[in-house]
Amino acid sequence: MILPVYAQVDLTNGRWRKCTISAKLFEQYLGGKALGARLLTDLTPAGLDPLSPEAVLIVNTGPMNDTGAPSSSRFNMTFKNVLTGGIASSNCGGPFGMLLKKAGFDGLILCGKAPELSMVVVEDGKIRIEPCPQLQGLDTERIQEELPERYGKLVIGPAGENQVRFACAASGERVAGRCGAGAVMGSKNLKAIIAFGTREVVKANPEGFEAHTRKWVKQLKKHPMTGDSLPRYGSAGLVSKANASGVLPTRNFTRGRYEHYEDVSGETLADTKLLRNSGCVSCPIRCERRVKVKGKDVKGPEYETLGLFGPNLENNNLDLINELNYRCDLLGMDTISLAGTIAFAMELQEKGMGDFGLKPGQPEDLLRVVEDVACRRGPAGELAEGSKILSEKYGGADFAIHSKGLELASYEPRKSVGMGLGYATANRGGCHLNGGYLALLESVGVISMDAQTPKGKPELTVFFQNGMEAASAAGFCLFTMQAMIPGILFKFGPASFVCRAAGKAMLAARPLLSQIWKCMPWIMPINCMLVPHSKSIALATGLPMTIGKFFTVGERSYNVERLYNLREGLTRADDALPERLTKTPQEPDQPDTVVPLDQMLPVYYKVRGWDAHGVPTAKRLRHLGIPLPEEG
Amino acid sequence: MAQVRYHGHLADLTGCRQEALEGTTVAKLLDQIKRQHGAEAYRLAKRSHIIVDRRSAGAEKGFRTPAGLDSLVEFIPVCGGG
Ligand code: SF4
Repeated sequence: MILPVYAQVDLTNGRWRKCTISAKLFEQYLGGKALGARLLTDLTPAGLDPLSPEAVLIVNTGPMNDTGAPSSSRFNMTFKNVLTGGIASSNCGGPFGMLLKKAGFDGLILCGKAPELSMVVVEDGKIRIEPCPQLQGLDTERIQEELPERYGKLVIGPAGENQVRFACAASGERVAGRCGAGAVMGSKNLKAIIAFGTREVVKANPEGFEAHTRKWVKQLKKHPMTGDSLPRYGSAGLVSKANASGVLPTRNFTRGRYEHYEDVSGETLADTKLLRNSGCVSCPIRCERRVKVKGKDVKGPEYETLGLFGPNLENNNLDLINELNYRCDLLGMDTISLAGTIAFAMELQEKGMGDFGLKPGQPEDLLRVVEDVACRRGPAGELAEGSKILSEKYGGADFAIHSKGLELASYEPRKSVGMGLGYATANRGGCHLNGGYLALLESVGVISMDAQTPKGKPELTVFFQNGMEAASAAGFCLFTMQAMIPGILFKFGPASFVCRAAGKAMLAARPLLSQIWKCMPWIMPINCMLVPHSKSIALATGLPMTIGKFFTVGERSYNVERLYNLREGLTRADDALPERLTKTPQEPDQPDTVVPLDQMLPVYYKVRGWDAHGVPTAKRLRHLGIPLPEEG
Repeated sequence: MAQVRYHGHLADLTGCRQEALEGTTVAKLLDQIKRQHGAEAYRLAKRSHIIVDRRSAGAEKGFRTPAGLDSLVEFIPVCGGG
């Protein structure tokens, strides 16, 4: 078995050294965010400022990167979350991860602070740090054009240099968007990391792997979700259904429906703006939209950006959203956190609680706001701190739409209560994907499930959180998990008896789902095409991977991340949502249109094997092979 | 007559975004779609999210969900993402 090789790089003095991940850690955590969380916990003391030189930034791949497995180009960045103070992991589908591996490293562990603006150059097993003052202020596109073409690049824009708390890092046109990875790079005077090499990934069973990959690609292409709707509409296709289900956040999450939703829907985007679809390296799904902005062919907005720069700001100008999306990518900012923070600041301003120079009702002014935030300039520059810090200064915590400090994604959870639980419990804060993405079952997917009942939601949330965590650790795109929903259901349709029964059956399975983790991984000692990921990992790495072990990697990772959060001072009280979502019904005449978090959280903790305060029990940690915090 | 609105590819197949159709349940509206726009449109409509007066038919009585005279019935493609 070939073990992952990492490099520890001290940016302060330019020294670096190679280290190999032990076989035990590799088997337990694979790579990506799971291994990142373990390493970050082990390598840093509690209480560091995430933007201090002592803070550690891990940029790593998973074992599947560069293997040619479907949708396996996703690499990861792990660090102390700039918005929440807890764990952060941010994922990106750009070419950097693949080139890092070709350069001979599975991951980089960066600490210290370069004396001047610099870049790390990784090439054929060697690393050097080069000052790059000439790149100062360049946007993410310009800088990538300036750097030599053959390298895989991971760069920041002006927002990262200015340590905007939700600054992202970009590779190609893809970004590691959430939690402030760009700010951490900026705090280290690190403008770019570039990598080049020719190393090939050696697979344990090349023939078996190729055959499995062919079968899997065929399956993805045949599946109605990954073979048709994602390539056809991308995630943007969700706007119409989200609106119909009341989960399209509108006017800072005061409502879940927007009267002009059709102006910003995926269908309108496809009919009027779409040039073609595209995608990350080695992806047969190709969910990316290409649109024209000012005559230029650029990456189009995802559903999140459409929802949060559109209805949530009562903006129905699709051209403007496309341009805002592009500007944010150039400046290097997460569209979710930025748009969420603008919506909150607008409400503060309308209520006379603060003045950020915003112009409600004049969406065109948002282009100016976005620049001001990236440059921390003028009254709007204060938005660079994010909603949580703004609410601590100006008030309005009940309508600051974040969890733990990370702004919520574009699903209004009062009409998708399991998604609400996911937001509240996600280790990195208000993230739909890290939260288990129950909206797909409750509101926007093919299965017809009762979206308001709290019953069964904790069990399903844990299941999907763990599954997605494992996929991410290996380097797979989370969208591959959506093909786990049997394709046959799409033939019947959501209104059919079959899809309605499927929703009921999943909720009814809660006694089983609540016990399953006690028997993992032994309960699923197999591999099958329902979860093709595990066999793919086994064939590529030689690890004795099964579906049970795969899900256990996810559970282990979730627990390590939780322990990190607890160590950094987060508590049960941080598993929360703003009162607007838990106390004010979305539909005034339907009292159940709130997120019943108090009912779901205790069950969630129990299913996870945590105590009533949300602390993983020693028994659970031992079961997962995680050292108890006091054992170090 | 219920107002029926088509989203996505279904609008291309039926050649319109919205039309009035006769039918007191979702199933009867689907029959009308088959009659007027053919089997392919019917198949796609049946596989769509069907929203009757802002409520998902999947959460109501499925294809037996009633549609009133002034109901708005929407057919929205099932999409993925996140
Ligand atoms: S499904 Fe989309 S986001 Fe995922 S790897 Fe493919 S193109 Fe990238």
